[in-house]
Amino acid sequence: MNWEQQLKLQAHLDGELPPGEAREISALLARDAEARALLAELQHTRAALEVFEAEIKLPETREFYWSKIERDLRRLEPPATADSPSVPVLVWLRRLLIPVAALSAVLLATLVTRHEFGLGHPFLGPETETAYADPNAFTYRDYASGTTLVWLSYPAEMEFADFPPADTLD
Amino acid sequence: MKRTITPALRVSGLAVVMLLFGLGVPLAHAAELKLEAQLIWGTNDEKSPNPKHKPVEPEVRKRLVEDLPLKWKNYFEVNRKAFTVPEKGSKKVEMSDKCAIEVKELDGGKVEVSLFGKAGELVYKRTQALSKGDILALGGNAPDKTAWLVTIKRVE
Repeated sequence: MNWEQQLKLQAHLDGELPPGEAREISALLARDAEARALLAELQHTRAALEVFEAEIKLPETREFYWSKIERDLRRLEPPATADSPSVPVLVWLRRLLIPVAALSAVLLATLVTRHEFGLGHPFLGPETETAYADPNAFTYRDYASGTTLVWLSYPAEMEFADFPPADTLD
Repeated sequence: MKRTITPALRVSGLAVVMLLFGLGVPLAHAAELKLEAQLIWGTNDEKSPNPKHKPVEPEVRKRLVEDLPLKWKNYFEVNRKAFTVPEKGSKKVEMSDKCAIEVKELDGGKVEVSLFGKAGELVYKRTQALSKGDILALGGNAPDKTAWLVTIKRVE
């Protein structure tokens, strides 16, 4: 017998051969004593395995058994760690940066607004720029009343009006 | 996840409101300027030779006498002009046949004031902020130890 015939013989014993090949193996068994001996040995081997392979029976139902295993697994899982009492650095920074950034924006806008609208330095008064100046002019500002005096140095004879005023323009 | 208003967010929101209010107040002043200019004569004489002249208003006198370092005791109004400077525009006003001023509104709430002499020549120019109620006084010596002044007051 060749190797293929031996495999077919095993398949025949397991009932896995198609009808055509089963007839071929049956014919082989009828004429070949070696094939018959091999078949008998395979049958004895299978019977021995069936005897010594005892079925393991659970003391309870399958579902209850597996639920106990699942319960034990959960009990053995490590507990969730408690929140650290210390605030993470990033959270602390975020809490601090938001109001600081907002206040900085307010301060910057105030400075820009004062500059843009000529309010000037809060302590030095409004900004001034003299495009055509009298180099000897004297400037004085009273911040309380909002009065600015520019005293030009032009001689009295320059006459910006008829002074002493004999008449006036209506 | 429900968001809660933290103190940090509360402060930030307040700062944003302050910022918007702070920007809104100056922006509200971008409009035409209502000004009043006076040509004033300063002297220690009790009366002006011109009977048409009247003493300046008490408020103006207080500013000239008490708030400014001027030595004259009496101030008389020679001429008064009320005028309006259009937004971002200018206005020239003749205060006398020898003196004129021009006021120009600039960006940022500033004004440019120019003083012209009797020949129409530019004598002085100044740029500054002029808030409501503020007065800019340009002055100089006049004959007989008197003084001339041109005051510009922002009415609106």
